[in-house]
Order: sequence, then structure tokens, then C-alpha cells
Amino acid sequence: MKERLKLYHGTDVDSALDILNNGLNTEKLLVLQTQPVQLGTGWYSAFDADVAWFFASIAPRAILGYTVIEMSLHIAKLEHLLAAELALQNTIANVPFIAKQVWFSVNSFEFLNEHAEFRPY
Amino acid sequence: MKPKYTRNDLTIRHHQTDDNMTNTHKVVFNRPLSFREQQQFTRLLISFYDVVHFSRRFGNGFFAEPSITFMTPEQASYTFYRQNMGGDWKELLFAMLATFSSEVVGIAQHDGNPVFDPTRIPKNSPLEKYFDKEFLTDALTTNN
Repeated sequence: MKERLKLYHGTDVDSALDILNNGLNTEKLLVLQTQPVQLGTGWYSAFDADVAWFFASIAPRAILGYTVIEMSLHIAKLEHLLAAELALQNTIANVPFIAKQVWFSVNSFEFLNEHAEFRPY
Repeated sequence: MKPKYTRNDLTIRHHQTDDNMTNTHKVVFNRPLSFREQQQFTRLLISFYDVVHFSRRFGNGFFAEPSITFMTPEQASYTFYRQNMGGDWKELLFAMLATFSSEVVGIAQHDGNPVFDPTRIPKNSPLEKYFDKEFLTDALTTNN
């Protein structure tokens, strides 16, 4: 039974290691996410690893190397976040391809750090 | 106990850069480009530079026109000369590359990434099923 869903996040190496080892952190995200983003401040993930690689390559500190990490989350937990509007699924805007993303509110970080599994991809 | 990850655990990709001011990107096309199409691709990148440099609307910082080289008729590289990687210019560049990819010749890979390829089928569609309540219920029932 497929109970968990995998989502992918592309970023620079240091940010990736920080998420893998310490989890999502609102303060650190706010330091990096200075430009307006599609659904507002939050953590963005893609269904497709190639899409995550694309975003990793244009991350502000990608010049020092970039990578993709995988987040695995129980479907029921994701549904809970979607129902609470702490997560949203939509089509990514302003990119040269068609792809979907899942946005997670900073208010979901504590929940994600408790229930999601972060791994290198 | 939660593992402690290091750089050695990651798959790390790098932009090809000779120093902090030159960045080279590789493009692989779906088929060999004719001479005219190669010129069209070259003009596209030069006109991108012109728009960014002279309009100053996308964050400037380019020192010179990009250099574009076709290693083979289906593989090219382009180099930007600029101070930093940041700025809104990337969206314009990607939009222009995407237009070329969909209207002239498909870009199979950009720096090894296939997202520009117009023939590529997005991988999100099968996974989206998990957001479909009916599918989810069905899957859970089937597997139980």
C-alpha cells in the first residue's frame, strides 16, 4: 500500500544540509526568501525531481553547488495540511514548463518536522 | 536515531564557472540545428542580453555580450559574463529559451535538465492521483 508521497525540493547545498539535519526553520527561510514568490512565504516542493533540479539551479546560492532533497510524507498527513490550508497544491507559474507544486505554510513547519522524513535525493 | 547528513551524502551539481564572473551553460537540442537555426539561437541570446542590459529592468550586472558556441549542430554552450547569479533576468531568459524550444527546435536538456523539452511528459500526473479522494480510497481498499 502506497501510504507515503514523495515530494522534491531543490536548493543550495548548505540549505539542503540544514533542512536534512535540523528540519525546516522559518527564520532561516525568511532570510533567503526575499523576493516575491507565487503563493507567498513558505516552503515549495515539486512532484517531479527534474523540476526541483531546475529550481535548485537558480537558487540564490547555487553558484556554490546545488542539490535536491526528498520529503516523504504520509498521505493522510498531507491531506490534513491541505484541508487546514497549511499546504496548497497548484500549477507553478512563470516557468517554461508545466509542473505542479505543493506549497507549505511556515505554520506547517513544526508539523512537517515531526511527521515528514527528509532525505538526500 | 536521526542520521547526520554531510555533503558526501548529497548529489551535488555545479554551474560551470571559470571564476565568479563567467557562467557557462550547456544546451542539447532534440535534433541537429540547421545553420539558420543556429543563427536564430545565437540571436536570441544576444537580444536577451540587449534587453536586460539596456532596459535595466531585470537587474543588470552583465559585463559583455554572451558568447555562444555550437560544439556540434545539436549541442551548444553559452557563457554569461556577470557579477552575480541573482536577478529577475532569469525568468526572461527561461521564457525565451522555452519559446525557442517550443517554436523552433526542442531543447532536450539545459545543463542536463530536461524540463524545457516540449516532448517531455510531466511526471507529476501519476502522483496527482493521490490527491484524488476516489483514487485514494480505491487504492487503500485494493491494497487492504
